[in-house]
Formats: sequence, C-alpha cells, structure tokens
Amino acid sequence: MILLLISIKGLIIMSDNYFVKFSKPFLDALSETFEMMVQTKISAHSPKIKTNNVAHGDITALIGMNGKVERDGQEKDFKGLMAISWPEDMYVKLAGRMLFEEYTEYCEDIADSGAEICNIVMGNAKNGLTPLGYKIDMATPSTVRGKNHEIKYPAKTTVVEITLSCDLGDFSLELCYQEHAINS
Amino acid sequence: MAFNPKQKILIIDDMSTMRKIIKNMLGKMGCNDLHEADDGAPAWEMIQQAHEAGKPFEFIVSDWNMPGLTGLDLLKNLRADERFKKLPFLMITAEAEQANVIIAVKAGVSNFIVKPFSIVTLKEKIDKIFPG
Repeated sequence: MILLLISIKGLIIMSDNYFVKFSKPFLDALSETFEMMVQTKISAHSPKIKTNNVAHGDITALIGMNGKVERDGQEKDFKGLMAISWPEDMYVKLAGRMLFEEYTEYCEDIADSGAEICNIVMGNAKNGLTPLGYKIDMATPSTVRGKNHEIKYPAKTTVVEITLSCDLGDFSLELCYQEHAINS
Repeated sequence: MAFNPKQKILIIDDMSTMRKIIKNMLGKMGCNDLHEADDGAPAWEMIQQAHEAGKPFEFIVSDWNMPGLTGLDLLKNLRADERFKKLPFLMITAEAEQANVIIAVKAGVSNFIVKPFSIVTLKEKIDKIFPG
C-alpha cells in the first residue's frame, strides 16, 4: 500500500511540468560538465521519488538554492537543493581525470572536486533557468563523506533521484524543489 | 604580443580543484612560472608585492565568485591602479549571464571564460588576449 502511494505520488510529481522544466537545465549542465571536464558522456535512467535521506554514494556534494519564479504574471518563492552522490572509488577516478592526475585513494587534494562540479552545474543550470522566469540565489557548495551518510533536505520538499551512468560507473543526481506563495 | 609560456602567471580561485585544473592545463601549454591564491584579497597583495620586488605578474587568471574579494573587485582594483591598468586578466565564472559579461567588460576584463571549459577553450581565450 505504501509503495503504491509512493508510486502515485511519484507519477504526480513527474507529470508536473514545472518540475520537469526545472530539472532539465541541471541534467543538461551536468552532461556538459562531464563531457568538458571529465571527458565522458553520461546517460540518465528514469527519475524516482526518494523516500529516505540516506545518500546512495559515499561522497555527496550538495548546494542549496532559493529565489523567486515568475510564471503567468505571478511571482512565487521557491527553495531547493541539488546533490550529486558518488561511490568513493568512482569519485577518486573522476577527480583524477578532472585534475589530469592519478589518485588511488581519497585525499585532501581532491576533497573539493565534487563541490566544484556542483558549483559549475548549478551555475550553468541557473543560466538555463533564467529564461524560464527563475531568479536564483546559489548557496556555497559543501561535501559530505562517509558510508550511508544522510542528506539534510529543505523541509517539505519532494526529492527526485536520477541515476546516471558514465564510463567510470554509476552515480546519482538528486533534486528537490518546492514553490510557495511569497512570504508564506 | 604573443603568449609566452614563460610568463609569470597568477591563478586565483577559492576552490583548490579549479586552481589545480587551471594550473595543469597551463602546464600542458608549457607554462611553469605558476602561482596560486585562494581569494582576491591575498592575490591583490601578491600582485603589488611582486611588482615592488621587480618580478611582476604578467597574466592573471581569476575566478569571479570568491567569498572575500571577488574577481570583479580585484579587476577594479587593478584597473584603478596605473601600474596594473594593462595587466592581462582572464575572468573565469560559472555563470554566463549577459549582464555579468557586460559588467566585466566595462571593468576592463581582457577576456571571459565560462565553466565548464576544456584546455582547447582556455588556449583559444589566451590566444585572443595575446594575439601573435
């Protein structure tokens, strides 16, 4: 029964045109960032609604966002978060490729590589969202590391998770987003 | 004046990953006199000190968004100082909003590069700053 409800909720969210429009610039930006900086193409699996706050990877880079969106002559506030989560061995290879270096294990040299990816993706997604009426304030990206670490999503937001594949392995993109009336 | 890889270059970014990326890309272009700063404020000090020591920086590659002195503020400091009015300055940013480009051009930026970028793009931008 619970699964059925989640599934129905998921379908409602996925069919929400606003969320689809909101998500696309992030996927486009992530794809371009990987092609340019990691020299690989990514492919996206079907999006799913996430039902817990445990990260899928061992290292997660995340960035919060808030702002205003103007649609049909009405302005609303919105808040959200983007998180990208990698298995540690994949993260190490990915950072090495970005930096033109070879790393065999996680170290301080590559500690902010994920956050930099997050920053680039968010910056580019922001450019894609501006023509759709979004005015976004980006927060500073941060990184969380550890097995089964938890991600703190903004309250009352739905989290959509998209598994992505590239030649280095699978990782996940998570987006949460919610609009609300101004000052509510 | 064509780009000389032996130039003394200062790379400024608050993220160490991006400094390493730029450093390694410039290294692949043959540059080896590469220096780093993690914010515009220490960069401004380094630029003045290097000038006073008679070994000035010849090219600045700077991020725009930094928590202390931003790349734009650093650029304005440089252009307001007679000693650094013509110091080549490449601005790097994650946001390609046209308004930002106009602001940077008005402030006297030599060229502009939007993340993500490849070594090919970086070289093209540098070649435009230093035409052969």
